[in-house]
Amino acid sequence: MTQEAVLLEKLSRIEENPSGYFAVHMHLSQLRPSNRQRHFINIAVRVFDNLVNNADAILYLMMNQDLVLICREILVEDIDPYINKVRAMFSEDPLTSSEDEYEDRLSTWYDLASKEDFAAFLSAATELSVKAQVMIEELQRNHEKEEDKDSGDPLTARNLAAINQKLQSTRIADLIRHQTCIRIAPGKAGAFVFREHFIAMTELRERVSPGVNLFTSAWLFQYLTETLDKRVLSVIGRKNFHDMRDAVSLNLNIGTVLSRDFTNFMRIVDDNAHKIVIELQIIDIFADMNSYGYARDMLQDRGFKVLVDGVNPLALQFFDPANLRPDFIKVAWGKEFEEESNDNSRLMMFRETVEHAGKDSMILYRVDSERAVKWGLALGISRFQGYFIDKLVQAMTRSKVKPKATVKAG
Amino acid sequence: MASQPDKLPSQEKLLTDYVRRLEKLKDGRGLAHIHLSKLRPFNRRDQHIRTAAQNFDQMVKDMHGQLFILKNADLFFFFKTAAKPQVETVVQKIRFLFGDDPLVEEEGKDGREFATWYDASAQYEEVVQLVQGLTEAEEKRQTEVRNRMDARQRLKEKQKKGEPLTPSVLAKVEEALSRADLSNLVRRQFICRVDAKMVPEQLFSELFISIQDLRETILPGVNLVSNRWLFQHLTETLDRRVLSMLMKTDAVSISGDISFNINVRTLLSDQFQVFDDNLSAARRGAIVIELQKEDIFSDLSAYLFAREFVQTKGYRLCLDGLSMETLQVIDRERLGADIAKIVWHPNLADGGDEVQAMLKGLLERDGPEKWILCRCDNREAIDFGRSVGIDQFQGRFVENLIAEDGRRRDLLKLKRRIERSSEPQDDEEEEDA
Repeated sequence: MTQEAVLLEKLSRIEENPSGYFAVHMHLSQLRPSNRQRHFINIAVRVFDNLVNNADAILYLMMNQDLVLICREILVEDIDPYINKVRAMFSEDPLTSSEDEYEDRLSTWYDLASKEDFAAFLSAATELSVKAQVMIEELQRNHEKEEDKDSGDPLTARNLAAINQKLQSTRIADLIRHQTCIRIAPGKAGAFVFREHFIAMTELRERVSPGVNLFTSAWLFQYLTETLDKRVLSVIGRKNFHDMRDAVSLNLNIGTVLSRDFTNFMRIVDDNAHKIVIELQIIDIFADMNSYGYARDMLQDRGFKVLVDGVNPLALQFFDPANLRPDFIKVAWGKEFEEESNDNSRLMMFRETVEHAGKDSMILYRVDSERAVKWGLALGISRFQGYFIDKLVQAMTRSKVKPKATVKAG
Repeated sequence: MASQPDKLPSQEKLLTDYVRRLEKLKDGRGLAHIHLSKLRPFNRRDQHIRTAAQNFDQMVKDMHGQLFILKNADLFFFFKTAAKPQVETVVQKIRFLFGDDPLVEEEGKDGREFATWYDASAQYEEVVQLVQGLTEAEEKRQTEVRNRMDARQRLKEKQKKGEPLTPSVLAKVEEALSRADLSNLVRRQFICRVDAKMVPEQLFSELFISIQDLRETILPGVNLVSNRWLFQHLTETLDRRVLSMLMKTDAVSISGDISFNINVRTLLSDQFQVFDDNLSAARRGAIVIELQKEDIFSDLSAYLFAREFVQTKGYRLCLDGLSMETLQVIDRERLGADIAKIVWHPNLADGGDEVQAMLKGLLERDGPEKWILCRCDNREAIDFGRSVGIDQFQGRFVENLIAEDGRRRDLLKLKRRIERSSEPQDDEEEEDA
């Protein structure tokens, strides 16, 4: 029996004598996906432990992650602190940061003793129950597919050794995918900036570790990427860099850049370093800033371009990537930017970042719509990457208006 | 925030470009090559070189010349011949700066020179060769450093600290950990307020597992920290063990406020929930949770959520492991951490006025209670910290201060007892209050 069904049953009992009862519906399903994670919700549920144990209150966790609290004969002032705790936990989420004090998007209250409220809540609860049914059916249908994507055994120290071993000998050349970053100026054809080379992880996983979810530990995954780097360098190292028209970008660990494999790679690249962009991850950079500084200077001295990857809109609130002094900064386009067009603080922050870093070093990526491009252009950004750009590039190639190649990445 | 050093191309590269362009305008120009690279190392620190270079500021501003500061600390100043007397004065000033260095004292002996002068027009080829030679030497140096860091460093680490950690060794370590009794590996170090007289006042103590001893106990000969990512993963296992150990209060006799390091992921796990359930609200206020910056930035949403969660519960959060470099990028206040720890390193003192000003600014903004200087191994660390306004310290030197202070108090007590015993004993209740 689902919690939704239990709730409906409870409601039918309350209907007989609703005096003193009220309900609070907390719309956690409206949180951003990054905040809607299971373990977050579990912790939010525990906030109510004390209340549920010591007063006449019941908490229901819905399939869609919404919370419903049913109380009897409790002062509203005594409930507020609990709701506020949940609100504080998600204080970075737009759901809780309502500018208008009369509008509360997180919670809806119902006085069940009032006929009107009772009816409204009953229909809300019924809707939740219907949604739950749909979700259960979907889950069952997608069970096998789900298994493919998010499930599987976690990556542990135990299976890591074997996977790492396999990674060293598995063919990966055919798993390298490309995505183009282009420069857009209003009224002009897009100009090529570089083509990012990356490994198709889902397919790689199929090949080296079917049944293991490689993403359960950020640290162990990062370890695997170090092995992967070496393989990628040897594959890319077979290119003829002298004749190469288009600049390429590669994702590497700082450790790799400082290793002998990279020294060999530099020898192959020779005078063509200016055609290569090295993408470094924030998590790797923060783990050892000294090494980053050293690697950056070394790369830039040799003529490579350094790109800081893994910056999302949220991260911009907490540090200014321009202080890392790279050639490029990739910021992921996110719904956050759209949503908060009226809340200007995030936008201001971003505008500052762009100004500080220089317009020519910013790349907006994960660009999935024309709106994203327009938004970026308005801020002075001219370099873009993402699905939407892929379509543009395809269209340009088909119409034979090839993007003008600039051999130097920039 | 500290001002930004030059952004893109290296000075070597700029110098090469400049010399190439010089070919067309070499008439009426000269070059002074000042050999600061030959100074003794302690005279060659960054701030010395910067101070020396600043002497050229006015001439550069007046468009009389162009200055290049190379990685090896040598200065190259190109000037219009008309301004040569002024350049000579500046070089003389710089020479005085380093008056006690053998380079200046022994100038003239065995062809030693503080500065070499060139006529750009007559000696253009020589200048080109000189610059090329230096640029190549710098490139070679970088390759060597990297290769050394690579092979030599790896070998040295291995000999000193044991075999590197590999996935299969990690698996063994984790298994051993699940059985090992860690309570005798727990170490404790105090965070103290240290006053001008070097008297420590204990504020709270950090509990940590001695990685060195852990290695000796479970897998001698393996260097657990040799791979950053595998070690980070290992710390998650350690977190869980530490939490369960802390719950058994008899395992470690803990008094006073404590702190410990933990991963964000662990804070959001069931183990932490259980740990939290077993604490009284008052005890939570006495606990400082220390988080690592790379952990925070690996999943910011998780950090923000965890931060709200633990701070509402009453715990305090400490941002651990900041260095001179990270301080310029990461802001404690923006991250909403209650306290931050700066790791002592002599480069903080060598950083000169810029670093001093940056730290002073932070301390003035936040107040001294927000900052701790940790890993203080010597008095220099404390002196430096106090000079920028830090008064909370942690490290071996602080532990020594505590021991010393304890001895002093014991002596004082002893002395008082002796004094008292020689007095007529009429107020005994006062004894050992």
